[in-house]
Amino acid sequence: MNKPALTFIVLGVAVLAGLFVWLRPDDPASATSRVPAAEEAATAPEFEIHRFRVEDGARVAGPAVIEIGAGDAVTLMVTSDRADELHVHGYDLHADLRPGEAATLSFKAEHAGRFEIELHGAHLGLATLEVRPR
Amino acid sequence: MRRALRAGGAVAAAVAGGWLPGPALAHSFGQVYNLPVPVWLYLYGAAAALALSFLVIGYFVTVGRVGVASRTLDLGASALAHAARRLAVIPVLRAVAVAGLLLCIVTGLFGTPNPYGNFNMTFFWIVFALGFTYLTALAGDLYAAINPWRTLADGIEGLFRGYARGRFHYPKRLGHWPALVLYMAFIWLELFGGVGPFSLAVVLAAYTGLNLGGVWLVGASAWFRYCEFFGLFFRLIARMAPVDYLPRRDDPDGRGRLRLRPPFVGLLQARAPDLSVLVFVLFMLSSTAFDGLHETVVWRKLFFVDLYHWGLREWVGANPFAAYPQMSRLFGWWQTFWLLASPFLYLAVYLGFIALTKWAGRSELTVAELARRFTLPLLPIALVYHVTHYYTLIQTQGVKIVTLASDPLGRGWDLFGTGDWLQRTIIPDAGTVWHVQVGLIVLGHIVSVYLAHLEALRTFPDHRRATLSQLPMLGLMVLFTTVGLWILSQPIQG
Repeated sequence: MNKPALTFIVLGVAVLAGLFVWLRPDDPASATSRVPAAEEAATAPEFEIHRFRVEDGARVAGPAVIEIGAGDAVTLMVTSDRADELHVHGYDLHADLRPGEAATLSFKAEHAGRFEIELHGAHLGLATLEVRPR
Repeated sequence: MRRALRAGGAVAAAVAGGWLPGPALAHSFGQVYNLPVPVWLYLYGAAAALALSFLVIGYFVTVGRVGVASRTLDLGASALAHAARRLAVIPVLRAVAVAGLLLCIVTGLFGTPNPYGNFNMTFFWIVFALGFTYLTALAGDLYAAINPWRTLADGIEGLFRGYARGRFHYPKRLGHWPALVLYMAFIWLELFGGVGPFSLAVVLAAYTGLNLGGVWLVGASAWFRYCEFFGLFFRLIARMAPVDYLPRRDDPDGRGRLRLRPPFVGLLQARAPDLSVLVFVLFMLSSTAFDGLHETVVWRKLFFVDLYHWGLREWVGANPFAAYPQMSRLFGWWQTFWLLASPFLYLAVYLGFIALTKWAGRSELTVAELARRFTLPLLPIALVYHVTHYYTLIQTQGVKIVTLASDPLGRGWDLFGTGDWLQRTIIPDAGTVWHVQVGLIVLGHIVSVYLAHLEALRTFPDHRRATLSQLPMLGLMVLFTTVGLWILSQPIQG
């Protein structure tokens, strides 16, 4: 490799490192929390129960987005007027819903990411679970 | 997979209240679990792309002329190539490809309608459309040799001599436009087709019929060169591969090629033959950008809030409850329009920057000629766009092909004893994904800037003009890269 190329590669790495040091937030966790996507997407405290009601294949109560941090506990309580199957993608958790009965699904959200919460029978995207990394 | 079923009454209130109807249309590729890139990383990527671009220019100014690295290593006569020929690797892979195609059709027609439980969705959308693309970028244009539709056409030719010669001369002025049209149809199906296992099987069967009919019409060599879009797509991707592979029958000299070369230099060993290939490359960029954009909050707001208040309200009615069904229908058309218009929008921007390039470099060449010459250097940006948007799907869904192979119809079989493997989804770490995304985008950007500069040194008569010509080009590439990063950083509609 010729000398100028080497010099410029070193310069490039220096630029990358310098920018990284300059731009990286001191507290990465705070930088990842964004403005909630929807107005009703409140940042939930730990152990809050997220209640949903589904009628006629549509969500009539409950948040569109649940935003939590990795490691938080999540409890979903879903009441549907028809028999259905609740599915949390990614985590691949399922719960059977019986008509009119509230079903709960509790788990610890260890993986960061965006996960669809879906009712298979109604083909309903019930909500999105957004787990921010810590 | 899931259509816009999240409508319902609550949605209409949302239109008025700012809550947006959000069918997060999971596209056929499957569920992506990625979180948007944090703002600081987005800024980092954009700043790094800009700063490194100027370093590249500085490098060229310092060293003067740089030759295109052309060292290659011929593997055609190596022990490896001999072994591959003796073991009939290519014929075996051709058979495997045809078997895979037929299996996708059969499992779709007779297997479970559950997209995650049927072999064909994961095999076609993830293993083939994504995995094989990335394999091609590493290992060269294997597809040219194992294209299953070409194998089928050869088979028919074996039975009915003269079939693959074609009935008509392919009209040259059609260029590669048919491939672009088919590619657009493919992306439309992927995003909006709501394709399930059954419909995928029907589409694959129809595409098989189309290919065989096309070969009958214009002959195998013209059809697979100009019309079969996977062929063109993989041919372009393979130009970036460090393996330069050309099957014997596609070589005018009849010898074929198997050589090692530095990665990406293949992009300088050819130029886009015509405008249709330029638009095809731009569609590779714009369709991925559109795919990212159309799921974001910004994009939905633009239609359901801004456009509604700005003019659509007069048309669909002031009552958002009543207007919603019509609004969603219009939204479907709106989305399709922008998907199909996107490469032409990019083309307008690209030609604008090329005109500036011509002016800055005082070139005597026409804008069209310059546009053609700087087409292929855009491919690294297109590739990294693609990889950053989709690569996690290989990890989350692609690996499940191991499980699905044992139970292709979703009937609880366990043919190879792998039926209960990988039950849990391997969710990629969000922080790692972000850094890989931004890192790859900056890397692709730098490669593109570097290649465009090498092209400029060949195109412009002197060094000074080449350097000046690259300032507008740099602007174009920083624009493409920043747009790509910005889309990755946008909140997605829940």
